[in-house]
Amino acid sequence: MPTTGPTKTGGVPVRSARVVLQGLAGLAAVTLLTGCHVPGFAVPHAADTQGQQAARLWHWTEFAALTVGVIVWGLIAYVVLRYRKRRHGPADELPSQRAYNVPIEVVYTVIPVLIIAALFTFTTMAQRKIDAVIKDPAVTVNVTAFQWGWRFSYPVGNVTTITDGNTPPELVMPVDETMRINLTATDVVHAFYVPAFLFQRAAVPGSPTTFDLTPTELGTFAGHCATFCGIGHAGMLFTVRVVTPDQFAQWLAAGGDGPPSGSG
Amino acid sequence: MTTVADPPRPRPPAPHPQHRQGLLDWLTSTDHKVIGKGYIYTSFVFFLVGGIMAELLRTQLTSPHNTLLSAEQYDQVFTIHGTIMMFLFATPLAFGLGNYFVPLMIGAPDMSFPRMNALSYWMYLFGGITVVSGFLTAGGAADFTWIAYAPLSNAVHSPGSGADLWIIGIGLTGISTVLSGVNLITTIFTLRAPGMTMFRMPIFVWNMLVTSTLAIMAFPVFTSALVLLFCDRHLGTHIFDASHGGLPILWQNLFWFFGHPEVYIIVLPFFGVATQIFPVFSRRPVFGYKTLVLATLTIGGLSVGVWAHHFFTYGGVLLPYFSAMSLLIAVPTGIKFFNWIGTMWGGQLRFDTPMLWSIGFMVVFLLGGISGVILAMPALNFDVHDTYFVVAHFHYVLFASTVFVGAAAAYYWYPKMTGRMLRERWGKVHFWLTMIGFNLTFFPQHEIGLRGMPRRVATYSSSLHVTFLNRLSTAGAYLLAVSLLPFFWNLWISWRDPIPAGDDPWDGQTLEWATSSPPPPHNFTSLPPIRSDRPLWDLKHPPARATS
Repeated sequence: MPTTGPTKTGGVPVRSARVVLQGLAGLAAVTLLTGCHVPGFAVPHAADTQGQQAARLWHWTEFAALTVGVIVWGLIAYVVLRYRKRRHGPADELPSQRAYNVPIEVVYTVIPVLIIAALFTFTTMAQRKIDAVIKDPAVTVNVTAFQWGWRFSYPVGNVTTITDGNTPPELVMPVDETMRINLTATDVVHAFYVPAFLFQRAAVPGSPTTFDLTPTELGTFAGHCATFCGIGHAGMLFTVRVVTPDQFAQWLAAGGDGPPSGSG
Repeated sequence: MTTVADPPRPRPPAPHPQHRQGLLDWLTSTDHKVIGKGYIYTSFVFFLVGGIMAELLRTQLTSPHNTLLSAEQYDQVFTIHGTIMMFLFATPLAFGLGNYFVPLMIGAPDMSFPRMNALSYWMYLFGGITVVSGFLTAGGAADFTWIAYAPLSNAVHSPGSGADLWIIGIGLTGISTVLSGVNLITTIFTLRAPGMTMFRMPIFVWNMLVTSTLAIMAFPVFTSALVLLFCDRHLGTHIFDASHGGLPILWQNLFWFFGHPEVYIIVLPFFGVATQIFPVFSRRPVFGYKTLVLATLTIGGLSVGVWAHHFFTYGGVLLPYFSAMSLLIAVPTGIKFFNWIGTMWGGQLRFDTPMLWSIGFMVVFLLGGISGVILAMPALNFDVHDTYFVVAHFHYVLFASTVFVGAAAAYYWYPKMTGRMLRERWGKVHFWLTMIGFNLTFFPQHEIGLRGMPRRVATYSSSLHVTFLNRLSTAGAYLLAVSLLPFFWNLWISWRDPIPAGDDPWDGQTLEWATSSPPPPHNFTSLPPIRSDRPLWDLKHPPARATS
């Protein structure tokens, strides 16, 4: 058998690789340039200062994820279309048997390391701001999770709201003020989760934890227990109600009874 | 369709003694192929049981406040669904494939410890039956999730005997996995055929080696934790009980020190299967063999250092360390992807069913990898931890590996195991139904999670605006059930109207194709010379001609 086959086809992958890489680089450049105007297509809007850190990170991460996805899916589609076995090709001709290409292997090791390093830097910066607790919070609330409900008690004003039957209790928060939350659980592991704040924290018996939330929007938001805690888990709900500082003060003064002045 | 060239036969087709077929012979066999088939078939039965449970869960979530299942029933069903899929389907399927094909691929007559191999299978079978038998007890099966978080799993909060059956059954399957791991490691180190150096082993064998090493590191920790939990429940200890000075978070640490390597124990064997399939159907060597081995070792090494990313939201976790380690795993995984693409690059691709399923695996697994990177970032994890986003993520990872590559392995190796071909046409129908059904089921769950629906809830409120997405997901789950029908039909007609496979139907490259289908009890009558990682290819294409 003649041995020219492999050398003849051997040049094709290199040339087409260059074309594909140029195409992908162009695509990446276009996406990058327009990136600032891409709306966060699946990112929920954050209703608090800490959550806005996460929202910004979401935006850029989704953009990076999409770029990586398009490139890799594009490469898969390219090899599938380009290198499918031709029906009329010479049957005995072997494709290139090249099994190594060290420069390319180094490139596709180093580029992911750089992407990961960037993501790590951004997530660590955002997480520090989310987890930061300030020295003098405007309000403090002690949150206790139990099977299956919540107790929110405000040491200042001596007010407590608690799960009563099927009615989710209210966590009332003043807008634009930092609230300190001391979280604990009495029986099993629960988690304090407010999707609108893009935040949750586990409530572990014996390991109290502390965090700050600074709501920036008035309104009511749903809260759930996120960690499975037994039969009543799905119904372990609470409501976050963000009101103006004046309304909050009146609500505290009234001992937490009824809605704050006005209808909220 | 199935034959490409006219390869020279590696050996004269010598007559060999047939397997004995009696039930007693099957029950008492120590042949790695019989035990391997036992693992594979048993795990498939458990897959069907777990799948029926998944359909129940999805049906429950079709509408808000559905009452098909009570909360008690829902909690039991999702606990046992997860338990079955992790411990009784995915892990044993991987070890079943390893059991059957590792000795064949390295030219060995059997595993190192054939009787321990049989013991290991029977412990798995009875462990599995023990777990599922919880449904027959008065209090029902275990209902504390497959991760059994303490203190929810203690005697106060989960008093039923179904919970004890779960602990004992899972403990048995854990010991079984350790024994299998020891057996595979010893086999790979001591029973390789002459010429089969470590760097000539097929990638699947490398991956089984790393998987087995992870198994003997991770499973004993888990089994010990189960013993501690059992002591808390029955012997009056308070190891995980905060009200007596115990530490609930100790369970979480012990569990995930096992639980995260477990993910790679499941995934790596299927990466290995895909790495066998891509070269064969591209007529190329594996691209970057040594890089792939290094990537597998790196994944194995990193996987024991990332466990706390399962509880980023606990406070008190060293977030930057666990985040960095978790993100790093994306690098070797990415290398594997590029090496698979490099294997196909410049080849002559045939889209027979094993190849189709393997490419399908790459397409869907990529999304699971990307969402994994997102979850490894604490600031984003705070938002979506324990929501349906996580459910979507790990199904993209684990379903892609176990079901897509599991099916690829079935279509690729069924001819070797039975001597019969499966029908290509039905295999392709099976593939496309699964591809559509899978994405319809799990893609919407990303958005369901982003909208704030926690996982493991028996019901949800219509105010979350996830009803339509949940209905899409349920419709996809039904389509996935339907997708199995062409597979069953395929098995049935291959039984009724066999198409003989011959020794080497796919133009294979590795040693399992150098013996008869099915292989004789002693596996090989003679072996081709082993001078590279694809001895059969060298035989068909003498090296002088194949180099470029």
